[in-house]
Amino acid sequence: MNGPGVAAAPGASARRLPGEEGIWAFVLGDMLIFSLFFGTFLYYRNEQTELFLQSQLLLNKNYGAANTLLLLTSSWFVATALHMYRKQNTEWAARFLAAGFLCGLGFAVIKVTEFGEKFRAGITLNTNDFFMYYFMFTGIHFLHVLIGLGVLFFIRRTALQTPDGSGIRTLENGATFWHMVDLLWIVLFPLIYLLK
Amino acid sequence: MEMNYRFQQLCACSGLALVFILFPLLILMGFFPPPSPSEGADAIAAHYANDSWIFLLGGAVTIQVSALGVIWTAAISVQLRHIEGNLPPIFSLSQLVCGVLANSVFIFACAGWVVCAFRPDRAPEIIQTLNDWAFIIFLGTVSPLMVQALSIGMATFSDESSEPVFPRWAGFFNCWVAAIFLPAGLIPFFKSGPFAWDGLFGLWLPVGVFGGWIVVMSFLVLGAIKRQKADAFAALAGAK
Amino acid sequence: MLEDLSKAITLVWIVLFAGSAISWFLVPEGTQVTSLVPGIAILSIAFFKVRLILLYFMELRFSPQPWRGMFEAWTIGAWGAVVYLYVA
Repeated sequence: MNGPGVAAAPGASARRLPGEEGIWAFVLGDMLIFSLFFGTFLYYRNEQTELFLQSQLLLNKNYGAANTLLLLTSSWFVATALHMYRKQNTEWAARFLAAGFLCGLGFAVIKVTEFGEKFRAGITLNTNDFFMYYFMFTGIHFLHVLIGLGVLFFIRRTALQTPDGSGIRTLENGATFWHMVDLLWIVLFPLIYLLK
Repeated sequence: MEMNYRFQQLCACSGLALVFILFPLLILMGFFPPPSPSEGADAIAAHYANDSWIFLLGGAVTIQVSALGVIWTAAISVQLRHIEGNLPPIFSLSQLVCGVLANSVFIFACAGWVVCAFRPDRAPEIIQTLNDWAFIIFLGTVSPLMVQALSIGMATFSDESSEPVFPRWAGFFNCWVAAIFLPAGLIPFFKSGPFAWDGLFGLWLPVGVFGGWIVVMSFLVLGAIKRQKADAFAALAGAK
Repeated sequence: MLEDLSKAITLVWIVLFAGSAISWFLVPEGTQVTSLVPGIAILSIAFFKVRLILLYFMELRFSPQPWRGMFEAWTIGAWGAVVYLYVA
């Protein structure tokens, strides 16, 4: 899939890791912990499948789906922003980073709404095991989203302050973290909301 | 000058000593994993009544292990001071106070184990209460540790010198470690399952990572001290 | 601005979107679990999407080993573990 429009991304001849190794190590570590989450959820689901299926019916899939689309789109904005920044188009890079931020903010609003609805219905993380995992795992992911929003804010500022392209490493670090946040939800959503 | 570096090395190694004393003690006391938070008062009381000397020994030594933890923290702060140079010492100070706070847990929580075993014929409810107190504080006091790790991480990222005190990956490592500690802060909400104080995310991961973090940081600090000592003595020789 | 838009990234986004849509419609009604196939499909689509994000958004496609290998390994390992546990 070597599209002709692939911007000034590292050329095929020079293999290069975006950002720095440290952020990738962090991302891998985080993904390993989340894979433990995935495994734990499924393991205990096997022990109480009927309970999990019944409880899952109380979830709002539409919120989850909307959140998925928001994060996918925000990742597109962020990835594209990076391409623009590399082409010295700092203004548009900043705009797209802001757009990605807004999508993430939308995720946060929906999430808070969703949790609020559950609480008002008397459902908390102590209601049963399914909801314990639902709140804990999507809650910890939500924390990542909030941190990611801070990261996006920070790298947008960096982009504006470095129109000469010297901030590329910081931008790539931040983008990598944000894509991880997206990627984790891509698994979390079907696992908890959709799987029968 | 020699004495200064020797003591720094001693402090850095005290972290290793802490790990190699604490973990065997925890195993000796049968706290890996600890009795489940969903156990009844009588069962908990029985734990402490059988071989209460193990808990007296383990608890008493764990209380004193706090001293090892705080001088280890001091060794790290000295390195963060190097990174700060002439800038305000915010990283080294915040790391220091957080480390002291975190290590106080060994005194205020682990004394609970000693007290439980001190008079085993106490009412089971009282023993269960002290057991709860000990474990909730011991495993649930995560914010000082998190901020301590984050301070080290932030300091490492701020290091712009040509020969950084700590390698860059150490900054990300400390951020990851801080993230791993976080779930343990939620143990008050669970009496069973992986987030309780005997669960995967409440006990095994945070405690395991805690041990690994101390070992890794100890070696990083020792490496830094070695370089600084060599530089200092070389400068001294050059000045003569 | 338009010349900056990477066509590959946009194509990937469309595929991701489509994958989400397919997963959505694969979900059986109610709690009837007559077959494990939709579940396996949904999970597999999810990890396929993860791989797309890794390779294209995160530019692992252009990255050196061992990084690319480690993340591909995670993807396959996590996918395998998840499907295994689901089916077990």
